[in-house]
Amino acid sequence: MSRFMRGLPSSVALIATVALLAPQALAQSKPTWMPARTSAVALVGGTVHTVTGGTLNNATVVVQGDRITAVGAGAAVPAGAQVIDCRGKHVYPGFVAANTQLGLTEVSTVTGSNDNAETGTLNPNQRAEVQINPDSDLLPVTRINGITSALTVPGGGSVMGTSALIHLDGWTHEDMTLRAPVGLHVQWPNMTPVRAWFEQRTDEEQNKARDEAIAAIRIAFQDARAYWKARDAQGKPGAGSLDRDVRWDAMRAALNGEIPVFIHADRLNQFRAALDWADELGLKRLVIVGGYDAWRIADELKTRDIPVIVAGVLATPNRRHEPYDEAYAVAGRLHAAGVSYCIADDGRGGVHNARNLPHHAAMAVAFGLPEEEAIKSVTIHPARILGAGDRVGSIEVGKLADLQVTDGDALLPSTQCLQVLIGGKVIAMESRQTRLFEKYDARPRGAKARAR
Amino acid sequence: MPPCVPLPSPRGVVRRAALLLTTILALQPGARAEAATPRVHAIVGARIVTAPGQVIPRGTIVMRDGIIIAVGAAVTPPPDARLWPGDSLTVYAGLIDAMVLPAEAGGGPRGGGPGGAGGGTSAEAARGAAASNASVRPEYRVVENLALSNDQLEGLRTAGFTVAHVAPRRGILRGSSAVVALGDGALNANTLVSDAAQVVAIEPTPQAYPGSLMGAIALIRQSLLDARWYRDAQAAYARKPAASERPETNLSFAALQGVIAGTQPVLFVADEMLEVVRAGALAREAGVRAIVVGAGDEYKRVQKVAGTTLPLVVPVNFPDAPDVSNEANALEVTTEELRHWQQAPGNPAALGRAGATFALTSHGLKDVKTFRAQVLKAIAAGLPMSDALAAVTTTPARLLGLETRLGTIAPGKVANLTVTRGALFSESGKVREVWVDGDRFEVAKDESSVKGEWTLQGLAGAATLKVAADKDTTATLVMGADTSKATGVRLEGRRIRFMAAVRGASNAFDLRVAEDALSGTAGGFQVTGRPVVKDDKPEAPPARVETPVVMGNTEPWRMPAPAQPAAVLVRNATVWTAGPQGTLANADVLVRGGRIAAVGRSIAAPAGAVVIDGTGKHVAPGIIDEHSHSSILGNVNECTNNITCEVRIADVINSESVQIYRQLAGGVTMQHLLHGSCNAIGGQAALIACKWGATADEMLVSDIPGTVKFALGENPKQSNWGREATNRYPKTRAGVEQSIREAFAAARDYDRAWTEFRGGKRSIPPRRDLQLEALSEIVNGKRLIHAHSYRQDEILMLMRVAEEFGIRVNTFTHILEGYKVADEMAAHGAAGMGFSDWWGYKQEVIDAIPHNGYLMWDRGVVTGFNSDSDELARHLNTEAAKAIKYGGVPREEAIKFVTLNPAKCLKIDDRVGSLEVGKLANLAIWSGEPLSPYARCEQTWIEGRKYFDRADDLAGREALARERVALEAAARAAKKAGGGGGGKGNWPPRYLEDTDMSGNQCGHAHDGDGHTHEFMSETERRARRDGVEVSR
Repeated sequence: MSRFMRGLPSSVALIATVALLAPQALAQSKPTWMPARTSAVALVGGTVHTVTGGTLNNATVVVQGDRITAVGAGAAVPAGAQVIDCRGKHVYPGFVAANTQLGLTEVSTVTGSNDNAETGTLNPNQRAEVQINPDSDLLPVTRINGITSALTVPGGGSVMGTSALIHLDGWTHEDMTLRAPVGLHVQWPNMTPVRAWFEQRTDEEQNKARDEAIAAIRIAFQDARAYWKARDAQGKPGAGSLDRDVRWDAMRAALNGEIPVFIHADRLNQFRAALDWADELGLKRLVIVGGYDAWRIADELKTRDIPVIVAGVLATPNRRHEPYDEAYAVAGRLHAAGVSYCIADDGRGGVHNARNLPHHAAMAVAFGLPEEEAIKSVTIHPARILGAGDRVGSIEVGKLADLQVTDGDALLPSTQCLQVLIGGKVIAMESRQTRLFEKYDARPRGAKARAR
Repeated sequence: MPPCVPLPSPRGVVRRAALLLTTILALQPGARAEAATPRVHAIVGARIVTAPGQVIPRGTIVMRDGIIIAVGAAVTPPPDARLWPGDSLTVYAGLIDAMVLPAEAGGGPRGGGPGGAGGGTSAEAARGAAASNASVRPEYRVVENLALSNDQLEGLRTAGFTVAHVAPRRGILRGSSAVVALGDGALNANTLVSDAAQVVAIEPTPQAYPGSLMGAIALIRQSLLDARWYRDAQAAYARKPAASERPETNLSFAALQGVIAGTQPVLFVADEMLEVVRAGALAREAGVRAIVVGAGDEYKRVQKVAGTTLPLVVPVNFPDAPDVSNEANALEVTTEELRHWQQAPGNPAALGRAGATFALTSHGLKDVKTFRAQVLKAIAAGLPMSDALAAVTTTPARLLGLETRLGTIAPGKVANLTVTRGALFSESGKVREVWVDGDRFEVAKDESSVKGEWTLQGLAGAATLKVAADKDTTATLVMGADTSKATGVRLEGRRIRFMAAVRGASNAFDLRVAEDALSGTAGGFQVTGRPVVKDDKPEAPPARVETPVVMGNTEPWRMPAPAQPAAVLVRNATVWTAGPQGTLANADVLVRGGRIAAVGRSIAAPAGAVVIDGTGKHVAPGIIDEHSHSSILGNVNECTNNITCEVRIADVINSESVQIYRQLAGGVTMQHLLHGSCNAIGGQAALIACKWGATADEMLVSDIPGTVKFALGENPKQSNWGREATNRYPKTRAGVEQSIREAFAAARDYDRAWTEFRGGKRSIPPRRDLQLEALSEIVNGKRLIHAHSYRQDEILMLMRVAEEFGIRVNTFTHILEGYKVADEMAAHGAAGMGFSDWWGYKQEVIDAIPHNGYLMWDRGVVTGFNSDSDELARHLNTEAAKAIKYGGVPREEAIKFVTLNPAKCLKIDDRVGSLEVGKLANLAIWSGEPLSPYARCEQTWIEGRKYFDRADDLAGREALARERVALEAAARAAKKAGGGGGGKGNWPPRYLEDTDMSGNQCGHAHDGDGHTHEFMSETERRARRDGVEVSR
């Protein structure tokens, strides 16, 4: 039993129930890997936040294999099912983190552990999913906080490659990958020179780099179009032979709209430039990642059906003179304007703490996002924007069983996540961090320790 | 004739020849060949402004051998004088530029290099027995090195200047300036004052100590102490040379003797208005006379600036209107920049109104020739014309101690004159010539035209001729009440002919203009004409957009201090006292005179109390952030040495930091501002109350034990600085331990040396060393250690070293492995302030766990969470909630993690940190439970004053938005109207930039990508700001 739940006797009861009804789990008092999937799991008696179908009190969620097979107050528990007692608890779909580098980095300053910054400007052929380390310590740390799937975005250059939506559990990255490629990611350059201590280049140098980056992005997409025209013409009378280019090969899906181009940008002048560029190339599907100024062009985004992944609510204003709560209010404004959006975190520095995603959504509520929207902003909304709305993001029959059981409102930092299921698997609620906690909590107590 | 060529009088030629001979052929200096051309001149019939506000409408000035010998309306030139007709001219005392830097002689700017006034080499020349620090070069003398280039000389003269105060360019203590006349002769002849001021620039140098602003201040402070020590040590040695240890010889310290004796003023070069204030504080502290070169934004805290009582030299490089032509790009122009564009020309006027003494300088202008046009903008913005003149004549003369020789036109004064056509400060005015030491330098071609207004003489009675030329040329003759419109007007270059009526009779006029004088005939009679000169006020600029002084305005200098009501009662709220009363539902909090007067149920409101309905709301103590870098100017790190506890954050508090307001809006009332973590023993920290709008002095909490930053692990080892950081000791944790031990031992030795001296065992006084003094405070337990710490081994190490010296580590700050040695910490008595859940950003934090807070708390350590950064700082309330999630700290204990517990570790829990009777009324009112992100901070109070109110902030937004629209419209209109040439001025000032964290290579949000940030010198920083290419 995990000592980190001390002080919460009800959670002890929860786990005990599981242990009682699942002898195979009891046998592994300290599992270091996932227990084998049982044929069926039933989460019984909790308040079930389906997200898409309302909130059901004293309801049961039945999981068979990797899917949810029944939801409701009267759902029958299949014979032999592992029963998780959720009375007095809340059941939510797992959170979907829409902008992370999970699996691509371990220790930020240890170069050898990082696969999140490819060299060069054009890396459209960089695939996130092939470099995910399933044994990264970051994955358990993240998933035991209720985050069950994440978009992993490759990094480096202006065209960064294609992202993958992954389950935060699996034996191999092939197991883990829910969907790939999800999108082709373009880092739009800063249009206005940055003046800050960490920017060493002059305005002129920055402008030159900006112009070069934009030119490179433009040429890449134009060349890829020409390449595919030639490639599609192969074998037709008059067509010559064609050398393969793996970079342009990787861009077909984005060029013809099978997957969106994700434009990472925060500022209005970046949006203007990027939208002009997308129009010029006839790109059909776009997603904005970042989106700090997106509310300023909400009507246009709505009309053009461009969703926004708000990358970070917990952020200071970008501009000194802006209201102090500018970043806090972006999600609420986009929602009010009818723009398709979801909440993520800032993706880079925050990767180790991708677990804090729900706190971003909660803060948005304090600054204008309706409370019932907040849970959607980190579950069904990102699922849909990432093209997996039919598989994850809500508690519905037929969806993957990505679930979390909590002792309260899942968005609050004081709430305990008691149990997580990913693709129907009951996840061991442990990580490198819980193991260290248990080790040192068991250290003989010193003279000044609190009485227990 | 091209401008700026001296008059081709025989004498001038000879003097130039003499210059060439002495400089090129190096013939015996001083034995200059002199021609016998007399130097007796009289400017006759000119309009003479003898002093600001004193005008002789038509008079004569007589100069003999470089001295003014007579001036007046009735002066008759002596018979030997050469006469200069002044009919069309106005004569002023020669202008003085009180701050001139010699132009760079090739190469890029390199702060801290040896250079010399005009030099550009980076190799450090041998300096003999001078100070060891390359930035301490007070022995440098402009008078030994200066050569103003001909271009610079001519530029200054063209702008009307006759005398320049020339300052050295390099270093921090830069050396002695010189006042020189702007004639063509050698420095021997032109020098007026040879060691006018010791020039001190408060700025860091690259790659060498000091690398930070606070380091530069520490170096200035230390150097002035060194000068005093040098005086005393030399005197002591002179008294008893036998058997005394010989004190060092130091040319630099010797060169500062005039400063400490009060015979030489210090000229501080400030980069922005807070530096002006800082220079004032430094001057006061060191007891030296001072003048400050300002930056043009002094209007922002003008009372504080004027309150220094130091005379100022301020620039007129007012910025052009920012480009807001494109809607998307306009968003990136801050409102602060737009406002400054509008307000900057009003800076001199504001200083004048505040009672400050100031001179105006061309310093900072890209083109010195635009000087008068810029001053005209200042006049349009309210600077009285006579004050403008005083600021370039009498005031700089007085500041430089030359008021008996310069500044006015009077017998006995140096024959320095600035001669104009039209008024000096007017749209149409032009500098015609300057006289320097009685020699004439023509600086403008004769570009006179007949257009304009003329007083004609030679007609029967006073006559005014007005010549206008829009499409056609028209001329009007006014004589008394008669106005005659000319007919048959023909304009041919500088000649005009027309017919006009004089006393009823038509007369043929034929006039030519030369040197701004008309001459010719009217009806056959000789006529002359002089231009009508008006000190016309320039056209008022378009009305300035009014700035709403409302909550949410991000310029604190505009904000008045909030009132302190005699009593405030918050009623019927949930009160988290964080004290013995615990958390009370439906309770009241009474504040009287800024302190908590009562907490409990049903407290009666005193008469006149401000009553706040707290129904549904929560009241909690103001949040205290034990670890912040949010409001620090310059760099948070002095990284150049491993021990830098002589530097003080208190010297570089940024009162203008918008983070103060943003954090108030997150319930934060106090920030403990820490030096960065790049060295084992960093700088002295400062605690501030977030009194938005107040000055740094007013925010600083000074009546508490001082604190100092220590750092352990990868940062002081410079592990993550990239390949180039291989030189600085230490590179191991053991090296960190030894360097701390060594420093502590040195402090003990220092104490002993003073004890011996005071006990008469030493005759030569020990050198006061501010670093050792701080270390002495530390090892004597008077200055408390806040140690940046991650791994358990180093935590244990520091406690053991401290114990060896009989002291305690006060706080391990943003500690991450405290949980592994929590019992040892509790036994030692160290507090643990941690990050709630940061981990993995570098190797030494892979064992950081979010249960750290719980485990330390559980083992009896005073535990809290701190921010380090700006966003985290403003939701510390929800960070505290993580102590509940990870381990199960009770809610009422969790809130103490960001209130009472940091107060305890800062030794201020007797006054803040909980809502208990008698403590300061530092509190926040939340819309819900303060540990929840659903709760908004609604009000934040400090000492019974309301510094934040969300309702007021929301209410102010509309006015601010309207102002913004108007500012953008004004900027577009100004761009359309043209003009400009001012560039960006000194924009942005340092206090509007984000805190410079370079050196904190710990993979925080900003540098999590592992990039190494090089240090940037002040010169480079400014050059980048100004868009100048810099060679590194």
